[in-house]
Amino acid sequence: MKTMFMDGNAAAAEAMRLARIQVVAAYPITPQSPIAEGLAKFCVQGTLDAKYMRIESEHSAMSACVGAALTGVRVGTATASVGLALMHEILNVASGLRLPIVMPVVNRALVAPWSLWCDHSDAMPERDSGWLQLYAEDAQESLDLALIAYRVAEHPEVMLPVMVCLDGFFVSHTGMAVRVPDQSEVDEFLPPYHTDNLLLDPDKPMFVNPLTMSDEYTELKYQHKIGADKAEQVLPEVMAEFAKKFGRKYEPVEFYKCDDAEEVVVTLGSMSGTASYVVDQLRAKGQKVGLARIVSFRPFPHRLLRERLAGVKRIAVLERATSIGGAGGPVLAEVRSTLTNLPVRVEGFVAGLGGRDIPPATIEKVFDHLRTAEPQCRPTWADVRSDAMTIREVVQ
Amino acid sequence: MPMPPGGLMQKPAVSEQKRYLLGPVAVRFSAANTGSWRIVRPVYDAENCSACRMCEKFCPAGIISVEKAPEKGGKHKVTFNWEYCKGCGICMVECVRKCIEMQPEKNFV
Amino acid sequence: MQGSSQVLDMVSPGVSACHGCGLEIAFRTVVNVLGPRTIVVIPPGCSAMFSGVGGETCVRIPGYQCNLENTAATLSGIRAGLDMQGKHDVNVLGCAGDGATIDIGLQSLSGAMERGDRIIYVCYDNEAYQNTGNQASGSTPLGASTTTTPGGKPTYRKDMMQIVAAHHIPYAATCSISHLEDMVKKVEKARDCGGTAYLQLLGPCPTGWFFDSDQSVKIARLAVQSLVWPLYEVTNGTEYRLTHKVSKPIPVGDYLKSQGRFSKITEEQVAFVQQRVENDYAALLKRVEG
Repeated sequence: MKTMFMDGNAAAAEAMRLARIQVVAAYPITPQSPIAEGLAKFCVQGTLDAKYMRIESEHSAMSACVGAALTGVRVGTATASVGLALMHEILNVASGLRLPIVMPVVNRALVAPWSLWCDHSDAMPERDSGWLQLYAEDAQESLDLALIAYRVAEHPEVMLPVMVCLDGFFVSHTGMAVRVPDQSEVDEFLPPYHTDNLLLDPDKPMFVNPLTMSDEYTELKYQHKIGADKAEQVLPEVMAEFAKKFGRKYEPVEFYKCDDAEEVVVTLGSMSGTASYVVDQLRAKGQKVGLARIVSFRPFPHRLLRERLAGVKRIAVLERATSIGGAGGPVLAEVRSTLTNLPVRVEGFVAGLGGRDIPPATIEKVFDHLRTAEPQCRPTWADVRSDAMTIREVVQ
Repeated sequence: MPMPPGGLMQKPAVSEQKRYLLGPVAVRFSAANTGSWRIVRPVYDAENCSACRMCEKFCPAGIISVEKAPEKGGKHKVTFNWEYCKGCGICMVECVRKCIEMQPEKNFV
Repeated sequence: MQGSSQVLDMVSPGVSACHGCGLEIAFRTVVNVLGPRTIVVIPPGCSAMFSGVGGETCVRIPGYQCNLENTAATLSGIRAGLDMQGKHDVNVLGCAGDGATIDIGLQSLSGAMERGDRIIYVCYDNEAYQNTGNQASGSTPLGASTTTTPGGKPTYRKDMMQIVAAHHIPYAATCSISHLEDMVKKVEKARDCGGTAYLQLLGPCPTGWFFDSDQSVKIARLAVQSLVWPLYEVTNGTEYRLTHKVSKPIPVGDYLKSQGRFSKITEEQVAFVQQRVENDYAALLKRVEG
């Protein structure tokens, strides 16, 4: 184990290197490019023994990963924003074929409008893709959660691909002291990839992904669901093993000061750090507040949330994503559904779209609004400017 | 020559332990009874046949078998797998010596 | 070669391809030449008849049904995975239609060719999206009626071989189901070229081109003899070689009138096609000599 100063991108790339991926097919896109570049450097330097494919698009990147994974090797790719959107068709292929692909996703807003900066509108639309989704708060977590992801993905009863999400620029480009495990420690934690499932091998011929009729499609999707259900059990087990080996403890949801809380804010990603700071400030003023940071968005930790938040009075779900035209944002909908039939009131808040910072003031405003405003179905846009409809004046 | 329909592509393990794959995958090699499509079928007359193999090589289903006569001057033999012949007629058109004629299938059922 | 009783057929005899299907002749030939140490990738289309349905497949070799536009990227990934495991002897074969190659799959193929990934890409060309009911593709010839060009296609087809040649891959060639020995040699060269190989294979389609099912091979022959489909190979994008010489070309009109899909073609268009075919052939001969 050594300590290195690295940002989220470098940490993610290092995790992939330590995981000994054998085929890389990653297309560059801001803010992920340093991952694609880092992996190329490792290959040239000889610190990663992999075939580096200079792939020509994200759609092809995931297609090549599927092809390579089907031959029985561990593969690597990463993307962001519209790159993930372009991969969409093949994301469903990867999960439906039960391929354990681990992919860092550097969260960046979708287009239009054009933005280079952080929000979760890229990963949230993929919540139905059958992929598992983990959200890292900082560079250390970008590395740790990726290593954990390989173990969960490749578990023979899970066999599902995992997105390890890290906030664009806030995590990807923010450096910190990261504890980096040694190769030998990772080799002990993560054995070489082996599959007994779908495989392209002339010694064991099978035809993968033929047409499936209505008499079997539901059953295949049910198998897929069972895999994700199993992941809900496997993830904390792997996290516990990781804690034992590497000394850093993770849980599918990190509860901070929730035990006697009357109000809890639910967060994902880097905003959680600011949220915990605000919780401390408000606690110092005597307010009984807490933070529930979701690490595993898929599988959604419904059991844990129900157990630990049942006694809370009011919950604010703060998200960097929306579902325009919907009754709730992606995370709001999941939390409300999870806590159904419990007396807790759940309110939604949208903030931080397109890279807008979420400072302590925004989170304080969220708690305030939660406490004072009338309950409502749809989320409140916590940081929208009052002149939203008039920002583009033209001279007649 | 004819492939038996069905049958496992993988030999069963010695202990015959059942194993289940998850996800969409075909593990059985099979053949549809495409012979049931036939409305006409090729009828072969060995009289002028030179065993040029044009019929055998151009048959889309690969179900024609040409056997050269064992002795010089003997009659060659061309057989069709009726389980799979679709009656397309390409063999008739490509036959150099016009040894094949397409006749209504109902005459043979 | 397919049909021989001594050779174990890699492909099932009972495949639900149309009767008289040009692709069926080609697919058996290609797969049997490459043999059992082959992995095949098939996008949706007519070749998906060979993938099978549910738990049953029509090929003895391992295969994978990819998406319509990503055959080449998938092939590249498979080759990378095999090479990392030292399985260099396994052939990686794609069998994609003209739509999946020339339209939606062009980017994926271009990327693979630029990278020089060692794959064998066979584009079987039945000149439209035939499996979904004969919609026009970039390969559909001028004047051909399809369901999306019912009045006849107003534009000439893409010159895919020139696009491929521009990538300077080690081996590219045209093939026809009428010339199977020629096809076999080309499949072997594709297999042995050590880099990306591309075969554009004419497979007449009785169902979509509107001709009797027994005419498929004959019509492919007419395509070759009228110079609409010259048989040649290109090495490294620069060395052109004719593999079949046509001494007395037949008029293009003879080829066109053999198929119901050209029933709407005008005399002007036929003259245009004749001129264009002759010009293209002259240009080809120049490259052969040059």
